[in-house]
Amino acid sequence: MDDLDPHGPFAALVAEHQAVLRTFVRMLGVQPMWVDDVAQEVFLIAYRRFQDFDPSQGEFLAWLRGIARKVVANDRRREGARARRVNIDLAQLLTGDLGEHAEEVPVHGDLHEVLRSCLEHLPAHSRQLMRMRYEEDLDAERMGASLGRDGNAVRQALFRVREVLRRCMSTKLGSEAWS
Amino acid sequence: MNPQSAQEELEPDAQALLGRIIDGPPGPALHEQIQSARRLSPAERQRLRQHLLLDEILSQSLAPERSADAFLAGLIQRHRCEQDGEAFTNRVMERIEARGTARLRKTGWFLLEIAGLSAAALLLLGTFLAMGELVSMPHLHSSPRVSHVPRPIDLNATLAATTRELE
Repeated sequence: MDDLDPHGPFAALVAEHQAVLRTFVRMLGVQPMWVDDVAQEVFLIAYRRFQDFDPSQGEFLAWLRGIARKVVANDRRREGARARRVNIDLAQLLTGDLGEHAEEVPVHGDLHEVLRSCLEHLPAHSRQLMRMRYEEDLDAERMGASLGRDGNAVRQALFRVREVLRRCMSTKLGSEAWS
Repeated sequence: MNPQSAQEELEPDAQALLGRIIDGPPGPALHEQIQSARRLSPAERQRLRQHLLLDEILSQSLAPERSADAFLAGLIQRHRCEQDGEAFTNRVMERIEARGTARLRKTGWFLLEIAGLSAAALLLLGTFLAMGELVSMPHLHSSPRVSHVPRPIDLNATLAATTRELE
């Protein structure tokens, strides 16, 4: 197997599909901290077997999703470190009634741009909450300790901000793309 | 976009579950909460899915370590590590095999040396014993010490001689 060229055609495919694939992996019940690890594993398998990919059989993203499903299914069957990558409870919840919906992760290339636009319209204190939660990677309890608030109150506040963002994105992208 | 009205659309239990799953921290109570979530309505499940999705996109957009560039760089680094790992494994296996062959050769030579030395030692010992036997036999017969060994006294002859002298 030769070097993965950062400017080569496969890297371009990674750049194009990584966001949607990572979101898809998360929707399969993979723990947030392991999403990138699993997604990279999927891309590496795809890179090794790239000669097996037949564009006439379907899109590249659909092929990646198939590999991701197998990787996550293998993790769920295993014990030990790899099993910890998947939240089994959540995976069962999501692969129950919502399993078929995992395929419906929006494939908009401008998803992140739309989100950034929505973030700009948030009040300053809401943006501050988002920064603490995602840039600083603090959970609700640690945010509460920092802000002098109860963890439940922080969770409610974060929920409200995400609801605003969800509605903003639905408006900009169209409800059918986001619902 | 009124946050309060959006919050009212979801039951408090479902909202608490969403908050616990997405914003943590995960605790022992989360398992029971998710188990009970199986009774969520389809609309509530749909909301859970949307919030998970939004959480993932927010994380990818805002967390520097989760940017697209960081992801690609991590992927390339991981690929290199795997390649290096394979090359390292191959090198080690080659060395182990080479050492194994050399050791086998060394062991063979060592065994031959032992066999040769043993044979030579046996030969020398045999020769020495044979020589000793040949040398020692005539020496034993002509030994002066043997002639000096006192012979047993013949009591009958001594008694007869003494009797004769007295007569």
